[in-house]
Amino acid sequence: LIESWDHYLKVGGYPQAVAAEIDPSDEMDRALVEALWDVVHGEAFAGSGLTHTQTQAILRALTSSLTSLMSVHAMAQAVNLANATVGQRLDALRRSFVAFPVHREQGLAPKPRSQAKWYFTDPGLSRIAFHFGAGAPPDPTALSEQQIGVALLRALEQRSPGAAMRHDRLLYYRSTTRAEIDFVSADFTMTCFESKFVDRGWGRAFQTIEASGRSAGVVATRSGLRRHDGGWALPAGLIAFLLKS
Amino acid sequence: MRADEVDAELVEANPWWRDPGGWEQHDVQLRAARSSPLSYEPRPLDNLSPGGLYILRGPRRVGKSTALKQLIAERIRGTHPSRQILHVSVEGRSDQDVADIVRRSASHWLKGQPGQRLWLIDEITAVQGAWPAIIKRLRDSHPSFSADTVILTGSSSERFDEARKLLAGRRNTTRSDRVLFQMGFAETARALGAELPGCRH
Repeated sequence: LIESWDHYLKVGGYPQAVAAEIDPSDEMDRALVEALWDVVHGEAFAGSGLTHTQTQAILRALTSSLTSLMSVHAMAQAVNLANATVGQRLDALRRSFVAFPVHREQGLAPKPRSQAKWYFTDPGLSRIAFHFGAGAPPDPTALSEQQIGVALLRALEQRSPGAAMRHDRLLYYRSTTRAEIDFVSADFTMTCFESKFVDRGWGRAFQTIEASGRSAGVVATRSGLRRHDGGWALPAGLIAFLLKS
Repeated sequence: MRADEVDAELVEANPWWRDPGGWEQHDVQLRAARSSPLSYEPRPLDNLSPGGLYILRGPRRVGKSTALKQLIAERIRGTHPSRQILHVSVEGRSDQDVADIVRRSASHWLKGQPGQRLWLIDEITAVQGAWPAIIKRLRDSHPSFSADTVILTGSSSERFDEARKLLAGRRNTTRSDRVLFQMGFAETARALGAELPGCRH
């Protein structure tokens, strides 16, 4: 499961990407990158009037802000576009299932006018800007957190149809001291999920979980598996596998 | 949309009307699936209830159109008469075009009684205009479309709440909103050779 999760973070879940991994060739790789660009540009940027360079700048900014709170204003400044333009493109990425926001929770509902975290829906999409020479590829730590979020979102969609479109079920927690828990939801009752893509040294995550008042938490590690008073540390691959079961 | 335009599009998009036994060999999506090194058959359209109105959404290039074709192939290989199955892509069309296509199909092309037909309308979310309102009107007033099994697909979550609200009470089924995502971790890992225990799904 650990090696498979590492492999999954590299390949992603587009059937074309998985096929290219099974039977690799330069032609397949080129076709794959073009197909993913078509997904992003064709769905979310076509007709926007933005150039490829501006599109890549937005994607690069989104990739570099994975796992962090995202400021539309800061992104707009970084890519030299108006706030409204960036906001519209983010919304187009959301509508076309390319990326999704995780809002801050307040009483397990989205807190109005607070900064969201944004993730892509697939590792292949997270790398698309890099493939076109814009920025660095996302690191596995960010991708693992992203894909745990994706797995939780899919599980929530099964339970509450529309969860993956309204983005009102999967949220993040932030305390007054700015300690964060990556994923909370009314559907998880008092359990929560925190990503720490490490092989050891995740103990502080349980301190944050305990301080948040939640009764239990699951920390998604790379390989660590251990029972704690406040929940479990489990390999991210095992969590994703169990969520599907 | 003129009747001859609708007719030409329908004849092109429904080769099983002419060749129910051989169309699969020439279908672009099914051929690509057969020749792929990846053996992957998502089943987002399992357990359909007759007369239900379903909306299948998801990102582009995850296999929605292939899943539609596989459903058509399974139905025709079973007992479903090919002239009772209609597939059309309405990407870039207007909401009025959708109404024209449905009316023309029902009156001139589809065989069978209301309730027996299967409609597969691809890329409904790429229609210009208020498609949920048109679907609602057709579902309310058209004698065949209101009773048949209808599957709409789209690559956008736009108008999700509007469609849910307008079509409430007209779906005739549960689990009527479905999403097909990219392959998940377990599916990907298995395809790449990992041995994982079986899943319930």
